[in-house]
Amino acid sequence: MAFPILKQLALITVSLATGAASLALLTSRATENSRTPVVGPQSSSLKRSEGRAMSVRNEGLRLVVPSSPSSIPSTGSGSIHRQQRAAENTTVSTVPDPEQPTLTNFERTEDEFSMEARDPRWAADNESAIVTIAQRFPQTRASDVECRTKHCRLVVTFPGVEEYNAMFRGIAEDAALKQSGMTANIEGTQATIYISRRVADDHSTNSRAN
Amino acid sequence: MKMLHKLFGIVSIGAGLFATSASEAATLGVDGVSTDQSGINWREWLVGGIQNRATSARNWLMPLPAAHCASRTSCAVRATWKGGAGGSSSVIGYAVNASGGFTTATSQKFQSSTLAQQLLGTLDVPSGGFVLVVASLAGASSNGGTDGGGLTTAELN
Repeated sequence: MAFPILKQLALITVSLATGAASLALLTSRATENSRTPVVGPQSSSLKRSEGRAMSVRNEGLRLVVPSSPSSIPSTGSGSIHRQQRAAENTTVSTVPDPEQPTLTNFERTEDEFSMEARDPRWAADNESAIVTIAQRFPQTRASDVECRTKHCRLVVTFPGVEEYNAMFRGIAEDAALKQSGMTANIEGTQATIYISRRVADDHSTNSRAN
Repeated sequence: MKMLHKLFGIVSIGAGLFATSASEAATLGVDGVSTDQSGINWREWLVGGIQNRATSARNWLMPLPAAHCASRTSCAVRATWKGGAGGSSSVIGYAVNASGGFTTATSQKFQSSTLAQQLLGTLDVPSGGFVLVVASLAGASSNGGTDGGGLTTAELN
């Protein structure tokens, strides 16, 4: 008779021990969850997150630890994950921000030119060619002619828009330069012009119209 | 029209032709009738267009409003043209600001005696500005000859 009683007591003891262990494990997870480091945009929700974890710990066995962020309800601490997603989108998004001003072609070219090294041979050849073209337009004055690797820059001072256009067109339509495009910023009677280098020469440029 | 004369007043372009509308283009073009025009973008593909029937190369100037551009900062310019007895013909596109000054240019593209369309490049068109397409059409073998250079489309998108 004594043996079955002892056996039941032993089973009860084991069950109690298992329950205590489970409780300890759950409480431990809740504590770890509340200690998860939060940085950046999430930090504003840190206190709310900690508060939730504390109240959950006090509820003991009714604790439910979420296994994934999507299981968090949309109210309360759900805002943490909305902010996380927003932060992620901000990082990886390629959609241009409409509030961000778009650089003009001139501004982009200016930036590129400022970071270019100098291709000595190409630069010298083209600087010489640009000066030669500019000399055909005595009413305008070209200065600061400089070529680097992919672009040439010159500053043109002119008496009127007709004279400026004549020079601009003279450069744009001179096959010797092998340019792929030009962009200019006009301020009053002075313009800064960038000439882009043609990457692959078009063989048809060898024959020009009469 | 006055603006175009101002733009090229000093530039010697020979006996250049000036077009301000598709109907005028058809009149001056001698060859063909305008039947397929898309707004101000000028299309006469395989219909006629403008042809240079003088023995010297002549320029054809085509202003197009930037309203046809997909974006002000990236306006693709295309044209269809051909060379003639005098050699190849060339086309180039310019962005012109509200004061009449050139601010951007595509590269100058050339075409032999085969009629074909080419993308000239993309332009950054200033606010209030427009695009000017300049076609330098090769001359014919004789005055009034039909073997001169020609232009059939000029369009922005």
